[in-house]
Amino acid sequence: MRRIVSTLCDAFQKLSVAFLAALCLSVFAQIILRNVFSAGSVVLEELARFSLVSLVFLMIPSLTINKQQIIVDFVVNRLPGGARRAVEALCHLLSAASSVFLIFAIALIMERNWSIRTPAMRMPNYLFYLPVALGIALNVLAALDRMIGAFAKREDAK
Amino acid sequence: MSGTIIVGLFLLLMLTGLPIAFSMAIPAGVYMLVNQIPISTVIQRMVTSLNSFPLLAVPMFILAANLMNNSGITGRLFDFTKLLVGRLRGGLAQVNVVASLVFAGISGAALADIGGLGNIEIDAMRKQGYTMEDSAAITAASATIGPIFPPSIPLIIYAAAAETSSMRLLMAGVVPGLLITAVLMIQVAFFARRKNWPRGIEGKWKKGEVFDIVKRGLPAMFMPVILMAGMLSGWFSPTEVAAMAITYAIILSAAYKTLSIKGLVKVARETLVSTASVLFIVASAAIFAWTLTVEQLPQQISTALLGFSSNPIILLMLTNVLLLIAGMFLETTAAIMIFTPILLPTLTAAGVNPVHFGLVMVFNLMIGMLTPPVGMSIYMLSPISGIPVNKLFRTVAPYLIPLFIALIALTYFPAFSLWLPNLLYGVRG
Repeated sequence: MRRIVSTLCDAFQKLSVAFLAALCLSVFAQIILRNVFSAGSVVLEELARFSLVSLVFLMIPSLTINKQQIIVDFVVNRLPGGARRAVEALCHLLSAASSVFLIFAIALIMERNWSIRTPAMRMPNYLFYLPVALGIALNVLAALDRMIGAFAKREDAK
Repeated sequence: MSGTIIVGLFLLLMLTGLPIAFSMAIPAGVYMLVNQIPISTVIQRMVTSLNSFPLLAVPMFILAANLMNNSGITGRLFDFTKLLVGRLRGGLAQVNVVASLVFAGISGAALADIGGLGNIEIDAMRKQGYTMEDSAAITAASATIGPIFPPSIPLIIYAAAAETSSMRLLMAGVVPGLLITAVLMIQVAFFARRKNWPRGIEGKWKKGEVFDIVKRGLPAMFMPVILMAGMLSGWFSPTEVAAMAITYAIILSAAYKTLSIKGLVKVARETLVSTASVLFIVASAAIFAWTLTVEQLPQQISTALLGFSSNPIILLMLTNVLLLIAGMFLETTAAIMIFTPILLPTLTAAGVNPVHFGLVMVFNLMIGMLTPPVGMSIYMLSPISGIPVNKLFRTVAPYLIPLFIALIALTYFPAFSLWLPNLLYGVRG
């Protein structure tokens, strides 16, 4: 499972790099449009905001798999080895469970509002939420993989 | 399920080592299930909180700082600041502080300062005979300037949480940033005499050396000047200034021939990690704070605090204590997102300006980054300096004195933070 998750995380990271580029270029293009051509573009602004939302959610599984989520571990670090691994495994299970909960929440939105379009780009809701759903779905696998790793005493990448 | 239970569950989950973002999302989700609120609200609010124009500045400022670090531009800035204050006693310690101020004008994050300048500053100070402890302590303390002097990522996040003008907030950080620099420089001058630290530069310059340093450093020094001029003139919003910073950093990197396509991708990936870890917390905190609002926790706290006193000075003193304690345990972004909706209504009701409070809040939380148990700056500096975390906390302690003095000044003299934004944009309550 680790290899599949890592490959997908890598692919999502590449996609996020593209979204980051789109975000920066959109804002830069807006500056040029406004200051040189005295024209603004709501499409570019919406593209930039969509890129931000997408890159954050697409990066979540990478943060999980590479231990880059921000955590407070000074209590857990004082626990003996076995107890610490058990608590870590429980945390990964909770991460996976809450990700499933979020996917369910997205499914509920899509059930009723899948075709509603964004104001400027006229992008349907299902496309807008696609990167969000993909990121959270992969996070379920990433968290489960980390949980298995905690039980198997596997040293993960930091 | 009351607000107290929601907060208690959050703290419990956070202390088990669950990622902070999930520690906030889970109590919110449970609250919705228990109270039969449509759970689609969870993801809708998370997405809406990120779907914001001001927050676009966060990844762009992180990218600009990473570009500067990875292209060696930071080193040029350090050399240039040596020209300015290097001849003072304890010159390199003073350079450390001033370089942090200059870098603060580019990056807007304490950890970016430590990551970018930390190695350079500590290496240079060690070569001149400073102890590792002194070098690391000054580096950690001076990094607190980063999130105060504009641009500032925590202030942009506060602006989003408080629904107040990010431009006013950023401008409000100028004078406090200079004040913190001044008090740290006074502390360094005091230690320089007591510990007999050397001057940063002894003897005369070699022929052409000054010209060479100026030629190497001046274009990099223009970066904060361009950013400040762009914001002060009103030509650019903070988000647009961030885009200009990236453009300028890429132009400089290309001119210095220090950045390849491969390097650019590496920088982009580093930026994504920092951005996603911070903004995922912002998204989760949005839904967490919403549940607290529905439960009327801010109103309850407001009633309790205003029942105790409606004097803004006393309220600010209580808030300082609360935020200093919160900063010891909570990550900055999470603390801003949680405490802004809780404390701001009370303080504004007592007559405290939200821009002033933003500065006070962020500075409290920055001091928290230097204190145990969750001092993020110390955790980052420990592997760089090779000093154990516990020892580093003790080493930094003397530098908390000038920071507390600056905090008191910022808290009780709002003019420090409000003078410049009021001058530029007019007085607003």
